[in-house]
Amino acid sequence: MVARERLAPLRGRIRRASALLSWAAWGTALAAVPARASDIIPVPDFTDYRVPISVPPAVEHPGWEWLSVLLLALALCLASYLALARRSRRGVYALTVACLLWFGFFREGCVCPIGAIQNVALALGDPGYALPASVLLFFLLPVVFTLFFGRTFCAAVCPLGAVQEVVAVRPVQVPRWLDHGLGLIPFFYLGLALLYAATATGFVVCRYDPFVAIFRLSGNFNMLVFGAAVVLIGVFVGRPYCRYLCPLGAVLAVCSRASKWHVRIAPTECTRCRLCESSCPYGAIELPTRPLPSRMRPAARTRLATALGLAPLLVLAGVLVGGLLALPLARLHPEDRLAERVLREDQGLVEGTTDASEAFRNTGRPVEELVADVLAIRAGFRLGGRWLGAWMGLVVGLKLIALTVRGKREDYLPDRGRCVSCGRCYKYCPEEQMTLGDLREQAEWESAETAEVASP
Amino acid sequence: MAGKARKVQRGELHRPPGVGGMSGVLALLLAATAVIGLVAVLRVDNWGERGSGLSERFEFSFEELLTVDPELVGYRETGQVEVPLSSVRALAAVPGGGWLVSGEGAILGFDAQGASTVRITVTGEPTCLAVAGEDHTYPGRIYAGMPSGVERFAPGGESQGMWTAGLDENSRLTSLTVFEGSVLAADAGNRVVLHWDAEGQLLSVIGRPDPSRNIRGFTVPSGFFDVAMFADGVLRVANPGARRIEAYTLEGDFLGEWGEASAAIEGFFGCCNPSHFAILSDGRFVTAEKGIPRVKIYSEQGQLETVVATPEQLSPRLLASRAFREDQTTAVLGVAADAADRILVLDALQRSVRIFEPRGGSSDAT
Repeated sequence: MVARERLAPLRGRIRRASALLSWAAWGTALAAVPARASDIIPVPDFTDYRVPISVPPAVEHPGWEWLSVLLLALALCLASYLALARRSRRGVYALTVACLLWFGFFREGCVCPIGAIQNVALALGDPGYALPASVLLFFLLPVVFTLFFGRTFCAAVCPLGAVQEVVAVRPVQVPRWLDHGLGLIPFFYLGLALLYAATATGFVVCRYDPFVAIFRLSGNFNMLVFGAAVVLIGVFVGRPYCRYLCPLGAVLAVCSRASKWHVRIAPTECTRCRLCESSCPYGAIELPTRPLPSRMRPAARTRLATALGLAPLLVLAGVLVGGLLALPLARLHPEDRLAERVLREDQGLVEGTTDASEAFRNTGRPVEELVADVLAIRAGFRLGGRWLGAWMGLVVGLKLIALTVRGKREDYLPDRGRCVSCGRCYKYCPEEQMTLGDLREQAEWESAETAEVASP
Repeated sequence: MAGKARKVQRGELHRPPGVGGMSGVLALLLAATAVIGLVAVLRVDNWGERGSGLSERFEFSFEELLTVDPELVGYRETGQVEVPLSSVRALAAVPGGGWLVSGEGAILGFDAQGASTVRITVTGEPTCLAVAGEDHTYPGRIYAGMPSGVERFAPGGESQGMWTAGLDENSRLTSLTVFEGSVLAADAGNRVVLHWDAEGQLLSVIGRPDPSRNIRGFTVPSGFFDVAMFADGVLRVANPGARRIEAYTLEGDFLGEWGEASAAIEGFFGCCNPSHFAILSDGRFVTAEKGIPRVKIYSEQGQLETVVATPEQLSPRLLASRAFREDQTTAVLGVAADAADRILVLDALQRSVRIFEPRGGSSDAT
């Protein structure tokens, strides 16, 4: 018995040694096996389909973004030079195509100055958001250039404008009443986009960008349909997105009215030949005005007074309506939707869960905390909704005033707010043709003929 | 000269065509296009409330995975012992027979018949347990993995102190095992196995990635990381992210591995399984999986031999309602093999220890 006990540890060691040897042989055989991807990324195994190991794209070098900023600045300089100094429609068009390729298809439409408005708004609304310097420049550069040269950014640099410029091959005039009415939408959209960005709800301008799916050659089916619809409309209606949706266009339209320099239709003196009258597919040419007959002046003054009196009332009405719309506006905020869903689930009003409510419950965060956050968000929307309503009222009021004011113009001039400096009208102007030499020979011949007739 | 004279005729003045007006038909077509575009935008499903739109082929369905061929089930449940604790966390077999269960504020001991033997009051919740066998320096000593270290208890339950050597703020002990003069613990936070002597002096750290020794390291996506020593002196470690069980010497040399990631019953399913395992006296492995809870037995070489408990047995609500929400709570929190090679399953949902024995065994005869 004692001998057996003494031998027991020895037997144990022998057994362990043999086990170690067998494991060592196994281990040696396996030593050559390379590491498997499934060691790192577990792959579900629902079907026979071999799920490829997804590799996240490499982080883009920040140099690309700064290169885009540099190219944006260069393109703005070139666009301003071509549109204002060289008056070259071909040059502007070539630059448009180049910018479409770079900022649109190569850079896939991001960062774009239109979306950058929202980054700026978010930075103003949320001190915790760090606004990248390159994004700030993407917003500021077009604004600064517009203050000096008009909307040359829209003319040749903006990739969204470029798509529409390229497809506008059969443009027709949009009735003035419709054009003015739809022209208010960008200002409303701007207010809405700023509200949603400042409340960290989302970047709606980017979400509903009709062209980004085209630039990236992939995207949500509905957005592809929307993009295709805008492109199709753009064949006949010049730049529909720029004129009736673009929030940056609204900002630049205001800046352009105060620009130091701006493109002109006639290079020198306008002869009021009317040849350019129907040249602009964007309805951005203002006709010369005649003095109003004295009998019509009292009525015009009454209209102006009415519009001036109506403007503050519209702002006030906007404040009231905006306050009432706070809750529907807040519905787009993900936290608001989540809280409502969670509460409905808790009350048994809906069956099952959504991914969002499931994720929320997995965090263990109390529902009361979520509700408190949402109440704070809704309070923000009540304030923001009033501001938005006031803004919309102001826009409508100013539009009414603008429609009643009769400007004094002797020449055919571009409407500084609406003109995108594309240069389409240049070639319609006889002065331009003269300057370019197209009519020089005719002028010389006419003067020679006159001299021959005059001489005996 | 004649050419020049012809060129300057007034009728040939270059005049590009202007932009014409919009016809009624065109206006109608454009309006229709605008409406289509608007409807498309308004119907964008920003919150995924209308589903993915993919066919049923891509549906996230567990149906097939929850059912197990009855022919494969070689065990049956022969007993169930409730654990009178508000929560249960860890299970360990006592070498002489019986088992220990830890939960909030206590460690409870049971004999082989399920009668309570000891209650040790602790602060907090022990996350793992081990009981020393006769081969250990201190037979019968209880080791408990606590949030702050490894606490020792005499067989009667008196605390004998705690050690923290090798632990840091990232440490999260999920499993303990004892062998001769060694105590080993799985540290899920640092993804290593710590090896101490019986006094708590750190001897080695096993499993740090070292390509020169063919050690790839452990992939531990969640807080499930189990270890076990067998009488052959080889350490087995569950590498849950790799869905494998690996073998190491106590010096940390990699010996081999088995296991395959698969939804089939033969493999380990999900992100990180097996969540727990134990070794029977003949060297076979008992594995427990979480997510789709199931307990199986594999041969020493890693071949599936039989199924001990099916998802239907361990989490019937999962099968009945498909309500994943309610059953995301881990159903199984540990497996152990007692001295009689009965399989003990710590059922977290029922807060009980469930006992499984082979079909056709002595208990079947009765």
